[in-house]
Amino acid sequence: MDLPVYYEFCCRVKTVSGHDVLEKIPEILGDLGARLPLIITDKGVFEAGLIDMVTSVMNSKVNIGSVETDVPPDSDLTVVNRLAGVYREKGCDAIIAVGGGSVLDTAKGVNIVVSENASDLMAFTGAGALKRPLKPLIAIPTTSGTGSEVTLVAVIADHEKERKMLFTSYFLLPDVAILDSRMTLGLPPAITSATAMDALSHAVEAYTCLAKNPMSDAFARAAMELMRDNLFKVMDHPDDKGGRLSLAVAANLAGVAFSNAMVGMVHTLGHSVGAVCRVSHGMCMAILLPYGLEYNLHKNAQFTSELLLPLGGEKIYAGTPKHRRAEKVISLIRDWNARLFHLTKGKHARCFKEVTDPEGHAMVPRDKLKDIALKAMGDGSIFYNPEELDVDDAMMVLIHAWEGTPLNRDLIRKG
Amino acid sequence: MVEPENNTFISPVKINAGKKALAHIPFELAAMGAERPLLITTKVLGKKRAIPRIIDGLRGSGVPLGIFDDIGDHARLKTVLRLMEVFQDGGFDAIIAVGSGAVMHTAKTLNLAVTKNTGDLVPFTVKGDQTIERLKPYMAIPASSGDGYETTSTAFLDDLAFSSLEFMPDVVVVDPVVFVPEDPLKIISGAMPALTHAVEGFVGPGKNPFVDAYAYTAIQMIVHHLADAIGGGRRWKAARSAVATAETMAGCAFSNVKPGLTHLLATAVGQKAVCPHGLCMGILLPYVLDHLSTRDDFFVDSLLLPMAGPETFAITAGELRTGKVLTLIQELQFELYESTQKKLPMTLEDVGIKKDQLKPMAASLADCTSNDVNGEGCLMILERALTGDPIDLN
Repeated sequence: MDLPVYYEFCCRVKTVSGHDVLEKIPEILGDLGARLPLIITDKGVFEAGLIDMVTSVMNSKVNIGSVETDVPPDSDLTVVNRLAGVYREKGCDAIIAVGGGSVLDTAKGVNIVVSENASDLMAFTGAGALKRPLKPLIAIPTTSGTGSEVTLVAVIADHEKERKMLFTSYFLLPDVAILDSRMTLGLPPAITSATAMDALSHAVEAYTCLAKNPMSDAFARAAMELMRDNLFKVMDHPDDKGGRLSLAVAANLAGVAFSNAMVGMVHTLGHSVGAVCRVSHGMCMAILLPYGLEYNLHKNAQFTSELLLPLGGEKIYAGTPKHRRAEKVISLIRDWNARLFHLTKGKHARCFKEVTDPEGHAMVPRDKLKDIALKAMGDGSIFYNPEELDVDDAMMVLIHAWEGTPLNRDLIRKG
Repeated sequence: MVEPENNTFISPVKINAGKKALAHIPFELAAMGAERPLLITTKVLGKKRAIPRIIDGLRGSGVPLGIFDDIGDHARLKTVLRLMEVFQDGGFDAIIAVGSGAVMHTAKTLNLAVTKNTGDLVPFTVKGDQTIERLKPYMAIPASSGDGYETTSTAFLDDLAFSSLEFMPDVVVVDPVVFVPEDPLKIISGAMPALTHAVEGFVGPGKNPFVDAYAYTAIQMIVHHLADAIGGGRRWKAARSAVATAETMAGCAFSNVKPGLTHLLATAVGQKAVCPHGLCMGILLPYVLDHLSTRDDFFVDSLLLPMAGPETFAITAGELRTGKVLTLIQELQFELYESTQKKLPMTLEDVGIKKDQLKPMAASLADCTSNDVNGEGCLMILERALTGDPIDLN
């Protein structure tokens, strides 16, 4: 087996998973030496009744400093500072973040402020600016997609000064991630499918892009196997607890894989579609994933073909001739998208022209593609893509992803 | 794949592996908040190139470094007490351990002593009543072959045994450049516990996707690189470094599961054998797997994927996989046997065990086998391993 010349791997977050592991929160807090946690979440999570579920198992055993439920989707420094104020005022000694990426990023920001007693967060931006462990942080994800409960970065916007601050440190990793099947049991089908494809894109890009290593490969492979066995089971039976838990674990494994191996052009283009047209991240990932594999095929067919075992299972793998496996992987992912399209009655779009907002209006106008392609060139993930992606090729990929037609691979500029 | 159920997994170890990994030490120290590390190692290693390279790397970065190179062959409390003084008087705030076995065990228990500020470690042993909380930053740099517990949650000091996830290093740096040629038997006796721990984590019970991922990678890397690591060919250093990395991964898996049957049997045998217990594990492993292959709560057949790769796995019919796995393990052992000029013990007789010792060994295990394999089963495994009974692969 070939090993990378040099690689790093870290999966330091303690992961507690199960059907009734919220009940362990008091014990986990105790292990972390904390007595009075601040709970941070957003309105959606709160209104779905998930916070009640968390607090009801804690109430008898742990006091709660405060429950703050108003983290907005575009959280910023003002929110961070306000919540840090609450933390101090109530004398809290730990943070529990319940929700997705924005909630967790906000919680990480609050943690820097309260742990370092910082008045200016800017002093802690960049890599390695944090020098010691922060206050205990517990992450409880409420979707099975982003894997943000295992990532070591936080992005906090400063709307006033119109800038985004990026923080990177192992001290930003949550101490514990709690994956409880009850947290994702009520997700509607279109969210389940989009977030699952987000997780799949993490695993697939981690395995096929440039910064892979044998450990990230193993995590990616495990994530894909769980997704293969559980995604459609859960789509058919949304209240399948076992399936829900497996998807949550899969998203976590995929999060570990990509935060160690980085991602490529599916994310490059996806971030840009999200920024220009406000399409949900998972939706962008689902649509672009087969195109990323198709575009890079002449560089990494070997890795892509290896994915057929975890994604298709051993019968399909053994029954497909070696030189056909990579293409089979791509068509298999397209099949998944098509099945999800039908299962969600069209809400899970197969191509960008099918993406609509709640009122039914198209969200990605054809004439925005040029802006999207241009904006993509500034995304960091572009460096880890196997083939160099220039703006013309980005445009070509976007046009196909908009129409829902396969790439003409002869037209790819091969470097 | 076995579906995850209620489960907790933690592996605090960051792994930096490969060429010029040593160059990342200053960055890693800064990232864990260590400003003044104390490096501990052995006299032998201190004279080799490894240590000067590490020191040179640190000197350039301006990190002040203390060095103690007087760790013996065993981890001793008196060394820990002496080091505790060195650590506190020198104002150190982190530990770097370079070497294997005794150095790492000393580092773990020293970390406990300086964090708790006490030389009385007995209350923290597995039999004691004190819990171990977060310790000081600790970096491990494997540079020689040890006992297979280096990066695990286990520590041994004199006759005391400790166990805590807090003992695990924050960072393990594996750089091919630090390894020097060693007796192949030593390398094998360090690698076999890793292979055994990874295999036992992978076949279950207590299998979960996180343990699987670490175990899978460790198995794959040991199976592919161990022969090259002892073979002394052109690429032996890269292979040796891959084996050390795999040992780290296996340690992470092992720290998250209950010890398996091979581990338990080898511990019992090791007390009477005239060889390191790692070699006993190698002898016992195929017989234990053969024994467990009939049970439906163990997944011996699934080992074929990490051992042989996807192609062989997919074209081998399900019912033939176990046989293939056992063949591959025996082939690996035979290859090692050949490359050690037939010095590698292959049976329990080879390591000085007599038939009449087996019964008491099996009996002593009767109440500690977590896999509900009864004394009779244990005895059967030991008897077969005693003489190297051929395994029926059908």
